[in-house]
Amino acid sequence: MSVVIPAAPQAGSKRRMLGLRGPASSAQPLISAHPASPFAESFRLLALNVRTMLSFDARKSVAVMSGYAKEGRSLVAANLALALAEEQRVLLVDERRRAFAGPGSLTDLFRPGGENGGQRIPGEMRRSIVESAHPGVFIMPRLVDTGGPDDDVDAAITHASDAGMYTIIDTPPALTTTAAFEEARLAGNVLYVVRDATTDLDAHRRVRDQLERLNVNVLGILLNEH
Amino acid sequence: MEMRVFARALVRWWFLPVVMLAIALAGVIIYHRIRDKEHASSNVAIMQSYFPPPGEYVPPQLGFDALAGSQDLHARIANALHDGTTADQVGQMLSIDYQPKLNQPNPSPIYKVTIADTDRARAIKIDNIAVQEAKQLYGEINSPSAQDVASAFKTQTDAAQKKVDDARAALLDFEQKNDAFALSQRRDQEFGLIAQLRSAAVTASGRGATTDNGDGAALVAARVELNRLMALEPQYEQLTSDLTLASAARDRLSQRVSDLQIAGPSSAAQLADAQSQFTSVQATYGSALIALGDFQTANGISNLPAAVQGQTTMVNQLVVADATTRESAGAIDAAIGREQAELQRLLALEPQYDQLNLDLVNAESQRTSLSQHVLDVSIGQSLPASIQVRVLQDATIESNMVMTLLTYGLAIFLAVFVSLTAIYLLAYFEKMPASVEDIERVFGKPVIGRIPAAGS
Repeated sequence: MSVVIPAAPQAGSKRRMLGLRGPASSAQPLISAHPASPFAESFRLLALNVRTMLSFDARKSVAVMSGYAKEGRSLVAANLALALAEEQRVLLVDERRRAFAGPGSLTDLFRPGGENGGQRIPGEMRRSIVESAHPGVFIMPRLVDTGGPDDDVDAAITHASDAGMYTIIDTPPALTTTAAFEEARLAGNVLYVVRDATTDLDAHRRVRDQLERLNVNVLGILLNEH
Repeated sequence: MEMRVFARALVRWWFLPVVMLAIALAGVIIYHRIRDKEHASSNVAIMQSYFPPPGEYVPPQLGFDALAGSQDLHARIANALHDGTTADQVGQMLSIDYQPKLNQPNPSPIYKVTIADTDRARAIKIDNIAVQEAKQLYGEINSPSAQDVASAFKTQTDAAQKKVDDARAALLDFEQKNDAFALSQRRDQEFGLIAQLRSAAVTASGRGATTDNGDGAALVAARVELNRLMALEPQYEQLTSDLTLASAARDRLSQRVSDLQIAGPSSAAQLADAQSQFTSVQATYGSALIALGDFQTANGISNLPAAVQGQTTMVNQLVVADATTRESAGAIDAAIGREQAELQRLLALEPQYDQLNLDLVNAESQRTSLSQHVLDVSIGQSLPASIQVRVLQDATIESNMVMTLLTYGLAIFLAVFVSLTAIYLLAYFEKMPASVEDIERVFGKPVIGRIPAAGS
């Protein structure tokens, strides 16, 4: 089964890839659709790196972050979760707000399913963790509204780590909402996604400075040339 | 800025130098198409005067290169071209430059006369005309004008003339008041007359002649004529002096005209000037000659000094004859006494007369010297242009290759410099990361993954 996330239009932006200046793809595949492709291998290698770097981390959680929208955070979060899930169960937290979520959001991609038929994991949370149709991947869907503080993520990470799961959080753009930093603080680790050079260095520096103030560990940079 | 960053920017904006080079080269080509002109140039040397003419040599007051700005020269060249070229256009295409040669000191300066024109043959033609006209004008400008010289010396000349007039008036006044015309001659005549009378007295005393106080009618008439002639002497001297002065000037200018005729056609302007002066002096000489002739006709004499001398001799003879005819020792003695008294009177006047005469001679001498000097200045202080200006090389076309290469080189340099500067500034102010390494440096973390492009 292949699930496709439609690409957002690139209107008005001068596309300049880092060393590669090809056009953005119109569809973002999941590695489960092309398990033997270089695309899938690149996520398996990324998953290996993440596993290694989080091997001594108790919470084993990572926030996938970028400066602005359309950097490929959802693509990375989804495929990293699928790659990690090939060896260990993963909790995928969809924290993108409605304003930033397109029709092909993670909540839509990872619909309930699986052996337990999308069975919910009970807990003291407003949002339930549901097993998705992809083996080993559990989804915590995005908030329907934006009102009020949400402690579900911290609890979900705790539950997941207690269950020996990795937690991958798909955050909103860091420079447009502070929620991304809140989730980064809860995760403790950040995977910083960079697609092209449309984000200037000053913006990257602002993200870095804020992460340092929150004592968040940046695992590394992920270059999205897709 | 690191060289790596600049090199990356150079790779990114590689087209900037290419575009700038294309624009610069196109600009230079268009510039040369529109502005390029052929340059024809000649070399001219201004010779120093190794053999100065009579009178003191004075270096030219105006250098040859100064002629480049002369509207007169531009107009002359334009007139010589007869093709509608205006003096202003000539002025824009003409340049005269001094050619310094420090390694070979040369007392004669060398100048390059250059004409810039789009047509090669025309440039050469105009350049040759420019050299000839400049040569002509140079000679004219650096030769003093007779009128200017006369005006410059007018004060001194007038003063000298006034001095002569005053001295002559004083002498004439003295002669009139004291009946002392031609004092020296009359003194000598009195000496001779007295000697003759004494001789007659010795002869008459031997014969026992008696004395008589009266003179004969012929003697009286001869004395009247002698006095008339002597009275004419001051005016006669004035007229002969003017004639002598005019004659000297005429002779000198005649020699100058002859010299310039030998010098050739290049001295035509100076020859014309000298001939003009000669004509003027000739007229003055003629006027003086006519005035003297009128004077001689009106007074019935041709040579006044000779006439006075002859009349004096005649008077002396008549006096002696008259005394002898009377055969009166008393009359002879009376005549001797009268003449001795006259002699004493003349001798007494002689010192003052000599002084006045000397003043007149000195004044006339000074005036003559001044006139001669003025004449020397006006005709003798500069060599003709044909001698001073020598054309070392006729007009030839100069190569523009160096200038052309220089403009192309400059254009290329500027294009490269400007484009590299622009790239440097672009790189300097560029905030976007030039590479993923820039982002790595910001976070201090490596790239741990790379999602390949679609299709790879």
